[in-house]
Amino acid sequence: MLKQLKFYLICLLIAVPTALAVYFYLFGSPRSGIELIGDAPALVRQIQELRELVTVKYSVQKVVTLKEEKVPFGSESLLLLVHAEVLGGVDLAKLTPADVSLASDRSVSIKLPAPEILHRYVNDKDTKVWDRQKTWWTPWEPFNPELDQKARQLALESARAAALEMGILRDAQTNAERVLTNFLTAVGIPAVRFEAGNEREP
Amino acid sequence: MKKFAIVAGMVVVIVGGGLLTWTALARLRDARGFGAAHRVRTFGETNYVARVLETTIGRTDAGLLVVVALRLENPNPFEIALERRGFVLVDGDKDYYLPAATESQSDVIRIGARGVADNELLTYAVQDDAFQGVLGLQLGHYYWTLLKGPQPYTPALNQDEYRTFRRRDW
Repeated sequence: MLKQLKFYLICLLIAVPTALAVYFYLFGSPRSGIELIGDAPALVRQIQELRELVTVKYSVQKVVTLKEEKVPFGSESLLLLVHAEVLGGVDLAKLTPADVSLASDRSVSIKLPAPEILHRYVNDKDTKVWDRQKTWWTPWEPFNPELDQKARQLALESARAAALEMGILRDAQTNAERVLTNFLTAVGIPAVRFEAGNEREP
Repeated sequence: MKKFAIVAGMVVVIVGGGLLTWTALARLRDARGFGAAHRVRTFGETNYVARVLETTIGRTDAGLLVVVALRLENPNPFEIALERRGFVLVDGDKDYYLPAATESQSDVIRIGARGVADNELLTYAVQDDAFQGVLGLQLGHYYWTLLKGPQPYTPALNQDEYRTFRRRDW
């Protein structure tokens, strides 16, 4: 009896570590982490020279709803809390020599290009998906993996419209004039005058 | 009485199923027409192939928006340049809308030799009554494709709410 018990005990001592080893090999923690599966070299697609003077940044928070109608039936909807940054300023590349004139009293007159929204981007850190659902009676329809990306693009449109509504162009113009005045005064220009430029973009 | 109930139930199921199938087939046919590839020609006699992927409508602080996603294919062995303003949107009241180029977009869409612009977005700010009739998109010199049918549509959209369609019957 004791001999049999000893045999079972030895079998158990061998079987349990073996089972644990197999389990951790198959489902252990190294696989649950992020694995780098490729190390592709960075590829520069385009190099563009920029002469933009960014003078104002609006941080816009939006709750965007996107509903996608499926064919033939059903729909999928996404509720996204988006934090977007909208940068406004003037593009100095549009400034021509004819736009700058120096008077006899050494004062400078500048016709600045129209202020515009120069960049806008979604702040990924503060952007969250709040809700995502599809019609319960179309369970065969898969979730669209691109819906999130699409909602972000549309959120940027909303953020742009909101920033325009809140007066980003006016602020961009005012700040650009102040920055240039400070700069030119610092290099010895006694007076800087700004003429009305082109029409602002809508 | 029981027999009558069974027969009536079967009739309801058959008629309902038939209507559902008919609606599904009509919508599938409509979606095929919506996403059909169009071989078009520009004012400069350049050929390209355009396909509408989807139409998104939404309401922002600035008003109603229409965002059209296009797939543009250049079958030519040379690069083509398509003016963004050439893609004019027109509604049933003959109001014409030009697309607005965003910061990341240029006024000219360039597609390399035998290349594809897979998800080119055209954004239009439209009036509130733009969906009361058809909605058409001009492709090239003489070609128009319908984005929406003639039935009036009054979108019950809140601020920052968008809706995407891949068919015309909305």
